[in-house]
Amino acid sequence: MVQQLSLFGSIDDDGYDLLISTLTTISGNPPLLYNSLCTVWKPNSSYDVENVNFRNQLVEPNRIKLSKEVPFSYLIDEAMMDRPLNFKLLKSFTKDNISLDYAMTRNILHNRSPQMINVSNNNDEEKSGSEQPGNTVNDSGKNSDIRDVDMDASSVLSNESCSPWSLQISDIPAAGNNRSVSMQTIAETIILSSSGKDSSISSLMSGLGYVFEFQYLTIGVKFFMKHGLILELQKIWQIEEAENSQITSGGFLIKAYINVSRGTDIDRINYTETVLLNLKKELQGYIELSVPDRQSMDPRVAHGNIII
Amino acid sequence: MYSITFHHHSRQTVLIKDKSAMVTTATATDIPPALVFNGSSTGVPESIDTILSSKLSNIWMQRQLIKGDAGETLILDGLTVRLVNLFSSTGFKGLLIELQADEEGEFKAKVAGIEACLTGIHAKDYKTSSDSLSPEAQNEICDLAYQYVCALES
Repeated sequence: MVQQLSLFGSIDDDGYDLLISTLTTISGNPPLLYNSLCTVWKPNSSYDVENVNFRNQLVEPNRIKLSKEVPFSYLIDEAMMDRPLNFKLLKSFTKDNISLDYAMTRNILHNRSPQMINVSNNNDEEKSGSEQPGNTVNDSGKNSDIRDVDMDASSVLSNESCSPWSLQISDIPAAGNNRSVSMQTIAETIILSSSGKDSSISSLMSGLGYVFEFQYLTIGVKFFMKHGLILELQKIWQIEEAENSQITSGGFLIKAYINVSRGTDIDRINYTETVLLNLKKELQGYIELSVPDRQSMDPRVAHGNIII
Repeated sequence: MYSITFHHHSRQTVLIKDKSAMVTTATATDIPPALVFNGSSTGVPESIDTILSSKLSNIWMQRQLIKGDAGETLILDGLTVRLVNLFSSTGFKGLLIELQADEEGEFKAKVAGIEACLTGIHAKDYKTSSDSLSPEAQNEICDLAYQYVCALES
C-alpha cells in the first residue's frame, strides 16, 4: 500500500520553455521525456456481485488501472521522425490527433501483432501479415488511419504473452477540509507475463471479472528532484474509437508527487508533506499548485467519476 | 482460479484460471525499469493475493490454502529434485515432488525411474503431470504452476 502525496497545477502551451528552464534550474536535473498508456477497467456488470465479502465487510467495487509504456515509434509521425527524443518534442504535441489510435491500443490489449509493418505501403503485404488466426476482426478500413511507422523488432508485440503491466487499485484520496496536499492510497502489483490458450491482458482481466472501460495516453516530461519528489508536465489524450481528443488542450497538467512506501509511516508522510509545500511556496506566484477535488479522483464504480 | 506463489522463483505468483495464466510479482527488483520510470509503477508492489483478499474480496474468496514449508532440494543424477510436505488447514495434504532437468535427454526415463521407485514402496496413490499450458509458447513458471495444479487437483 503506497501513499501518494500530490499537488496539481497547470500552465499554458506558451509558458512551456520558461517553465522547463526554471524547473531544470530548481531541480538540477534535465527534463526526461516519458509516456504511459493507462487503461481503466471496471467490474463486469453482467455478474451480480454483492458489495460485501464473506466476512460481511463492505467492499465497494473499484476500478482497476492498468498502465504501461508504449514505444515512442507508435506516437510520433513523419514530421517528428528525425528529431531527437527529448523534451523539445513535447511542444509538437499540441493538437487533438496523435498517431496512437484505438485499433493500435486494441491490438496491445488483445495481443495481436501490430497491423502496420513498414514504410512501404504495400497492401498485399499488409494483408498477408494479417492473415493469422484471430486477426480477422481488423478490417483494412481501420488500417488506413494508422500512420506507417518504421518499427524495430523490439516494438513488435508477441502473440503468446502479454508484456509487463502495472495493476493498480486506488482508494479515494483522504478526506478533510484543511488538507494541504492530496493523499491517496494505491495498491499495486506487477503482471510480468502470461501464458495459456487465451493470454491477452483483456482476457486475463475478464477472468478476474473486469471489463474495459476507457483509456488515456500521457506524454510528458518529468524532473526527478530531491527528497524523492517527482514533477511531471503532462499532455493527456483520451483514446477513443471515434477519435482521439486531447484533454489538456492548450496547456500542460503539472503533477508534483512523492510516493511513501508505507502508509503507516507517519513521520515520513509529514516530512513529505513539508517537501511538497516547500515546492509550492517556491513556485508561488508563477504556478499555483493546489489540491484537486477528491471526488474527481474517486475510483469507485458506483460514484461514476473518472480517475486520472 | 488458483494462485501459486513460488519462493524458489523470487516469490512470483502465478494466477491460473480456465487454462490461462498470468505471472505477477511482489518483488521490487523484478519490476521492469520502464514501468518505474514512466510512473506506471510506484515501485512498491504487493502480492496479487493481498489485492484479491482485500480490494477484490467481494468478487474473490479464498477457499483453501495449501502450504509447503521447509522443503528440500536435491541434485540427483542430473535431476533437480524438490521435495516438500504440503499441509492445508485440515492437516497433511501430501508430498510434492518436483523434478527438473536442464536437458531433455533422458528426462522421461528418469521420471519413469522415480515412478517405479514410488510403486516400489507401495505409494500407489500418486499423480504425475508434465502438462504445458501452451505447447507453442514455453513459459516455464506458468507451466510449473499448471503442473502443480494438475498434480494436486483431486
